[in-house]
This record gives sequence, structure tokens and C-alpha cells, in this order.
Amino acid sequence: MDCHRDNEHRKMPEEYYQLLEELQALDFVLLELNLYLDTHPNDLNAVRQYNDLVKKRKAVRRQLVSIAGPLSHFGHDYVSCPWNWDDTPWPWQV
Amino acid sequence: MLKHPYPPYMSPVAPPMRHTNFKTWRPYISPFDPCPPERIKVYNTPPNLYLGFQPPNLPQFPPREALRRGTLWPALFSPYEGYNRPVEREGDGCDGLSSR
Repeated sequence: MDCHRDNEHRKMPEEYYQLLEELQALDFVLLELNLYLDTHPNDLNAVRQYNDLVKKRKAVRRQLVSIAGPLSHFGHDYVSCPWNWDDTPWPWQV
Repeated sequence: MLKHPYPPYMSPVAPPMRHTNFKTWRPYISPFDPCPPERIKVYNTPPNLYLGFQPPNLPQFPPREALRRGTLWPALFSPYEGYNRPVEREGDGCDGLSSR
């Protein structure tokens, strides 16, 4: 069984861009909190905030993957046919 | 007895400085200097120099603004001078004595 899809005219839905920006923002805040928690291991509020954001990030990521296909390969995301983890737009093409 | 706001070795020359990200000093200019002199030199003093160990529960930016500003905490925000955004710069002040 074979399936085809052309890439040139692939137009991303509007919410793709919002979700992507939100994912980037969440990633940045998680990174900052991570660095902060490295030096403040007992800060309970920061740990709670970190876990809330991880939960939120997983939801945003699942939504994004459902819209635009896998964000990463090697088993980190589901794929579809035809094999689409290498589909456009790549990060620098967004 | 009035408790002096500054420790004894710090004479109260000026009120405590509002934090500025950029400070300037005036280097010595030699009469034999072949190149046009740079009269005012600027150096960057981000907040982390003054902050020491970061206290917990500092106020935070919302996620998207944090991404845009490059830090999660307003207390640590120290932008570089942009064309459209002159950074507040404190005149000849300088922490050390080198510029006297």
C-alpha cells in the first residue's frame, strides 16, 4: 500500500504558530526554572510551578503533534504514512 | 543615637544609587595618542552583580514575555542598548576609584 503527499504547497494551520510559540515560551520558562532549581533545590514553590508547567507542556506538545506531525523522531512522537517526521517546515523554515 | 545608614568606611557621598545597567568612566588621554581619544567608556553592570544569591519567590514575567525579554525575573532583566531604546545610563559615576 502506498501513500503520497506533496510538500511544496503545505500550508500550516493558524493555531500551529500559536501553539509553537506557546511551546517555546513554556520551554524557556522551564529552562529558567531548571537552572534556578539547580541552585535552590528546596524551593517548593518553584518545584510546584515546574511540575505544573511540565504538565502544561505535555498537553501543548500533544496538540501540536496532532496538528503538524511529529516534532522529533526515534520513538518520541507518533508518525503517519507516508513517513513524516522529516516533513517541512523545519524550525528554520517556520 | 542615630544609626548611620552607611558602614563607617563608606562615607555617605551620594544617596544609594538606583541600579543602572551601564556606567561610564573617563580614561586618561595622552597627548601622544595617535588615534582619536575615546573620552567616555561605557561598561555593563547587570543586576546579578548586585544580587548575590538569588532570593526565592521573586516576581516573574508571564511565559511569553519572559521568552521575549530573555529572563524569567524582572529583577534580573538587563537589556543591551538598542537603536530605538536608549538604555538609562548613569553619568560619570563609577563604583571603583579608578576613574578619579
